[in-house]
Amino acid sequence: MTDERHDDLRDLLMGWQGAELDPARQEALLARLRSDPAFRRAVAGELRLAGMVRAVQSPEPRWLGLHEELRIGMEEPVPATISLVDRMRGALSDLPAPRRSWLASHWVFAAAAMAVVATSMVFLIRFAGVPKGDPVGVLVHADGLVWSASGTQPGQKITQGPLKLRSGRATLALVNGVTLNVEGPAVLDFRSADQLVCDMGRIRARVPPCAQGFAVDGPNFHVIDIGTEFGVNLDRRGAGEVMVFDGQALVSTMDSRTGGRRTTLVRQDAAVSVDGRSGDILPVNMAATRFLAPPDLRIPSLVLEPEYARAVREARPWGYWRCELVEEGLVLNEIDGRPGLRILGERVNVARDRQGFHQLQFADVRQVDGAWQEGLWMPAAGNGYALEFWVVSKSYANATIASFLPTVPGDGGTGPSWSVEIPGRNREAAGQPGRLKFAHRWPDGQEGAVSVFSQPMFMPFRWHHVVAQRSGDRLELYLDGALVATTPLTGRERIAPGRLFFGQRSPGESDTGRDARALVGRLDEIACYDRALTADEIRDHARLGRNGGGPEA
Amino acid sequence: MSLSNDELQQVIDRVLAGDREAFLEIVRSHGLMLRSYLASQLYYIDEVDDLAQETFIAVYRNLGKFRKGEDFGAWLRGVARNKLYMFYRGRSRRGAAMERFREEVNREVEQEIDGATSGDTSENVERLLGCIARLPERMRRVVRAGLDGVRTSALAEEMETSPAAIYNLNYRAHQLLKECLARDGRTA
Repeated sequence: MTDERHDDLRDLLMGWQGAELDPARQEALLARLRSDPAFRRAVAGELRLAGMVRAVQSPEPRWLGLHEELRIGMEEPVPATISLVDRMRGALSDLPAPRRSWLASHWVFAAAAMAVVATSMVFLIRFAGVPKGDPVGVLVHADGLVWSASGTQPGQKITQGPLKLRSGRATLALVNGVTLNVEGPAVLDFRSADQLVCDMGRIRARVPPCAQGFAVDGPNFHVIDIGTEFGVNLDRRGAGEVMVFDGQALVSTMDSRTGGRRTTLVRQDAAVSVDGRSGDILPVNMAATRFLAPPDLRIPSLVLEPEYARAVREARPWGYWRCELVEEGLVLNEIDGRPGLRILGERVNVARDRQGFHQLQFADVRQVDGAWQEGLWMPAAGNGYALEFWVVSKSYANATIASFLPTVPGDGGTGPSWSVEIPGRNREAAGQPGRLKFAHRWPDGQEGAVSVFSQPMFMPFRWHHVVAQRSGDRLELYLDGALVATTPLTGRERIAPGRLFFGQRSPGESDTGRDARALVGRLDEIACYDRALTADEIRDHARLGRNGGGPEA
Repeated sequence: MSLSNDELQQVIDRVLAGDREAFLEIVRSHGLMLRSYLASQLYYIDEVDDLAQETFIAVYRNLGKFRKGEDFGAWLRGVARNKLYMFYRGRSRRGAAMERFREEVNREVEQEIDGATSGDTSENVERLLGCIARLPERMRRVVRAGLDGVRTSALAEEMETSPAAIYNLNYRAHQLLKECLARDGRTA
């Protein structure tokens, strides 16, 4: 090929692939095409190869319209509503404690129940009017990620609907608390945060207690979590592999030969191969390395300006715990004569970040621990109170960041008077996925409360500045320096002496039954005040801190 | 795996006898070839997939008109060609300048593309994956990334080179891929 023709061919292909060509050059190339048959053949050869390369590297389409045309899966029309899905999921979450051991010992009955749930959900998902566009989570981390179409960046929301990864890996935090790792090429469709349809790809799901029942729906088979962590490999032909790394999962298929349904309970460290066409579920010996390994994401540093501590002190906090002064498990109060925070148990420790500063770290282990204020705090009546801190959570899992526990139990029991929480998948937070919640209860300890939810969503793996305060007769919640929620109180909420507790709902929770709502993440620069802070003070404090980059693997 | 002519005719007979799901065997056998054909003329892969689906739906509805012994692949591409015409007609009036350039190029090389793709099967297309895996690392990276205006610039920055160099790498990669396919005797 002559140099001139090579240049023309290269320029034409560049223009075809999206590079800008000036109009004169475009016309010259088109004129060449019309007059030079050999040039046309060369261009056709290149376009043919380009088409092959793109088609073979892109995921197989789901052919949904074609399936409708062929009327596939329409044998049992079902009047479907999303509320039935919610009720079934609610039924899953209402299973008596201890959930996992009960299910494990009664797995035959659980399998039958789950099979009903799975079957119903298949039809509900096909025929229900699934609302489009609601957020199901956020993209936390991307590693060499290439989307099939225009892509989402880390920190941005993922909404209901299809999602195609051409290559690379993505870590998603779903609003129900699930952490999802995906490797492309992958073809996904989020029907909701609880239901993922997957036609191809490698997936690993870590599911907290509040999101039990999270399901991955492959071609003609389903994997439903009744434990903690599982992986799914699905190739473009629809053959699947499932392995459970922690807890248990239920795998079910439809037998195409008999029309019946097969269900298998897969236990920890066990794997199965799944053939959606035949309905076979076969135990196999597989190494865990065959499945997607989750990236070990590190929390970014919290970068504070040197004047941050001075600004907080000038606001005259009652208590200020910076986590830099620690003696034998007691985080000292920066304010002389005031109580420290006692670290309880092994789940909590004071960790050092890459800058050398210290924070309270709450690990992801199934223990019941937190940090407990020694000594009492009595916010002054009439002035209100404020709690300020920096927090990073690793997921949207149901968690209590901070609670204030009265010394004298209220009429409602021994629960907190007020608390700042990540509600996760909680009926009370219905319609408020991925928010922070600030609740004030009366009587103390009751589940009912006056609550506010942050707008917008907060982001996992990102430090947030939070102020939760009572200002006169109103509750106020500030996120990153801005007022994000406020509501009037009923007037009956009392202020009584008590203690702050961080990292879970209260020290008395047991991990053998009720979900302890344990925070997994870090806290730093905790301060409490006998008054409500002003909007200017809060904004100034928030401006003096920032994230030192995003999560790193 | 692509269906042989006899197998294909048996599947067609089953579909015409009422076994709707059997049509999916045709989709599995010819889907990659069809998408490859459309992707040689459409830039956005979502448009490729949409038109491929429309083509299969049209083929399903008109399956009774297919004559035994005819080249099914050619018939399939013919239906896809008509879908492309309708697609261009609906879009050309509102397309951006570079989209119009692309469509004009496609119109000029339409016959040549039909000739070049006439022997392609899904199996052949799938074997390209092995050839891509054997490319030198920098070329493999460019080919796997795919090229559009924005991504080319980002890729050039990542690879510490210029967008023009990225296109040159892609062009040279294509020559190696053609040689790889030809060595295996699987290209025309």
